[in-house]
Amino acid sequence: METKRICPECRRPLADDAPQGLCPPCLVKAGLGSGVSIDPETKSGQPHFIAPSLEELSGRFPQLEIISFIGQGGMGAVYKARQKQLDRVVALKILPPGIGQAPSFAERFSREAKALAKLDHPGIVTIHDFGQADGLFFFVMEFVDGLNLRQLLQSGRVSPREALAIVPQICDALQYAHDVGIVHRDIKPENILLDRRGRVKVADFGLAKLVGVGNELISDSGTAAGSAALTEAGKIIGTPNYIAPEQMEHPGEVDHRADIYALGVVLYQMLTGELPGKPIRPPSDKVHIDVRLDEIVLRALEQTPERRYQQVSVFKTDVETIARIPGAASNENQKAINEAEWRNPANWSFGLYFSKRDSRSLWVPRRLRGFGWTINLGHWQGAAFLLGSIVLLVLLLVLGIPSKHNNTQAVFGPITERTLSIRGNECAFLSFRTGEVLRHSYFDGDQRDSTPPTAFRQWVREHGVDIGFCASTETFYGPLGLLALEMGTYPFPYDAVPQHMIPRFRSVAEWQTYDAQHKVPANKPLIGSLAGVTNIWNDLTADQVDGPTNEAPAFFLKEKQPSLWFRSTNLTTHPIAFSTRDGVQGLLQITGFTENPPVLKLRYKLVSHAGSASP
Amino acid sequence: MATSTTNSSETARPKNYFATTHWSVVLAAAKGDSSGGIGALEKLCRCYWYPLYAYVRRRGYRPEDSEDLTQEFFARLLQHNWVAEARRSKGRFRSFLLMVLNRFLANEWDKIRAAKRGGGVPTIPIQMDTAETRYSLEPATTTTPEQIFERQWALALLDQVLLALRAEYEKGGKAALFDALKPSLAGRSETQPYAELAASLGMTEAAVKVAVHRLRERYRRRLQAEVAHTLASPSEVDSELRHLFRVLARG
Repeated sequence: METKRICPECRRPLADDAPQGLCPPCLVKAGLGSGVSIDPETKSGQPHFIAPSLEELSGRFPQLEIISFIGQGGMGAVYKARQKQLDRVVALKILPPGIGQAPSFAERFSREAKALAKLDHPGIVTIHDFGQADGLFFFVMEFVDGLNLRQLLQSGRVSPREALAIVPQICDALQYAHDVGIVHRDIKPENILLDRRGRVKVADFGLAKLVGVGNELISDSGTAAGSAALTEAGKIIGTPNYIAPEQMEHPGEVDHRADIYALGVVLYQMLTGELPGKPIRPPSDKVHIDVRLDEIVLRALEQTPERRYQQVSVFKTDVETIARIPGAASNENQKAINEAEWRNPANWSFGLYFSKRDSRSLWVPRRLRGFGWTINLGHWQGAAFLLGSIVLLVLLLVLGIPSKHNNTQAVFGPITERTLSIRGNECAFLSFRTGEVLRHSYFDGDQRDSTPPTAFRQWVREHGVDIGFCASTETFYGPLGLLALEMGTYPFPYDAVPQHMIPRFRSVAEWQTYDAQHKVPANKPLIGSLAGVTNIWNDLTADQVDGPTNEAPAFFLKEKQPSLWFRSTNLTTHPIAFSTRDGVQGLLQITGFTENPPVLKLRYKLVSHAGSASP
Repeated sequence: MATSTTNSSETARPKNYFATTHWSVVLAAAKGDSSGGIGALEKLCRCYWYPLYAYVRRRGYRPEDSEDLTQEFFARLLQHNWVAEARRSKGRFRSFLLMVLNRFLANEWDKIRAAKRGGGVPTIPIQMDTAETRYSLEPATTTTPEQIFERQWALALLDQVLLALRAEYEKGGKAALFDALKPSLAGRSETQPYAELAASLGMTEAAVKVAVHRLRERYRRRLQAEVAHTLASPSEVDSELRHLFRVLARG
């Protein structure tokens, strides 16, 4: 009796007829791609709660005026509120509703909150009040009017100077907390607030421990689970990127050095704009900063706590030393930094300077040493040079543009508009050579009296047909189909009906690549469409409609990725560029379609390949 | 786009030219000349005959009768162009096939069986010798014929996709790569440790990640294309995939 194999992903038993030995449901799931939910019954992995509305909260907190909703995270939802009696603006933080289910939680909450409330430091968001209101655990905290560090980071990289101004303040706050035995456990940019005066405030101190223990107790049914779940995989407290390694493995045994690690990550991110990868690249590799900072950051990011800074205050001292004494680095380093700074165009500035009247030389005001060219407008030569340069530039610009144009650029002729009326399953065909619209009822209903293929092809060839339209009142086909005709060896209409799978392209280049890769046989008219061109009638030039190559298949474009496509119902929105074997190129668009009676309105303009416009 | 062996009638037409989906071609051809439709129908039948066989067997027909029956059914299907019925099956080949088969079983099979002895002339290469062996491996539980059909259909589709994908890699001389990375198709995260793979394949870890990503992409495209082959409209691909998942997840 052999043991049944199990799929490692979904843990379902693996049948013997599993294709290539892979788990069939997982294979199908993988085929759906991300963003598509496969099973509406499964719940998402993270504890998720809906933040109460303002009205709901007003009811529960009569002493507060709830002003607005600020944000929400795994730890709870935060609102801006006003204490009516004190007329003071505060922040109200509500913990996720399911959190209070464990019997010991209330007691633990109270204990923790009291400890947190005792934290009294300018760099720590003060807790004014806490408690439970109708089953909702809450904190009332100091409201910080400003940004959090995440928002600052998102707007661009923080400059080293700014980073070195922010970090010591965080260190002060952290050291204070560590001194009274409180570890933050969730230092991350979202928790570092900066008020309008640039003062730093660290928020959510110790909340991770409090709420984290509660986190695994939340399930969608709100039932309690044992606290042993703390170490279960997937129930880790904190934001993954900032969690210290020892915190990942033994969340219960973490000490203040985990905060130092997180701070290191934050500093790294402030300096380089990115999170440290594996292996960690020193920040000075990525940006032009003092190399001494590397040491500090890397030491804070040591994987084992013993090798890290043991005290935040030491970290702070090191950081401040660098901020205070720029250039105290070794000569070599400094030179390298200088070099890099010189070469970085972001550090360049340009100016026009004047010199002494009788001086024949160009000289730069003494306080600004350096390279560069200075045009001395005190002398007539300088002014002449400047003028001459400007004139030269203008000439270059003006002369430069025409050289891009091809003398043999073809020009499109005038726009023609036509209306075709079609009944039933009729096809109408348009010949660009003659400009005629022809009619043929090849698909007339279900009757099998339609013309046999060979005769039809001959008809098509005789009339010099270029493009066919098939309209149908049959609901199965939908309102519109476009046929690309080919005069080759394939029986019409089956193979020539492009409303089946046709690869599509977003640009002429993409289409050419497809063409080259697929070695499509000759004698096919080329029909393509260029998405993203807003006004084909004016914007498009004939050289953007490539060809006629005689070798590409018919195709249509859509705005999204090249994909399978069945019906040409989007032809009314997208113009089509085409070229035929005979060298006729053009743009075509179906601008209107009504079903009763079925009528098609077309507009098109043509140019012949030789370069002259022809209607 | 299924790569399949061509018979002589198809050599004139290059493969993958108009990447047509078979089922919609069949449907379109049903309204006009059906010569092209037959080729497409053949392709579809070639992939999905086993689910039908399993269905028939589960309906209670004996192995030799089932064999006859399946062959005959396909022959008739291809000859008589029953595709006109297709409109009622909401455009899915899967539903259509089952519906027509049921009708065939109800109306025609009795007459045919009475009239002939021995098997019909096979028009598609159904591996009848392996059919019964495969069937005997089916779990002898209380699955209904429909359930067997649906499940085998899904497996046939996946098989088709994986085989075609492997063939694609093989053509590029990368069969070994495919075999090594294959397990990553059934997941979204790092299903195999990249470091180990990198070592055994002689590639860098980054290259392995890229290769896995590419493999998954190609697989996904193929799967969607293959599913689309059996539908009349690509907008249904997602819902068909969900259906297949439910069928397979049921076990």
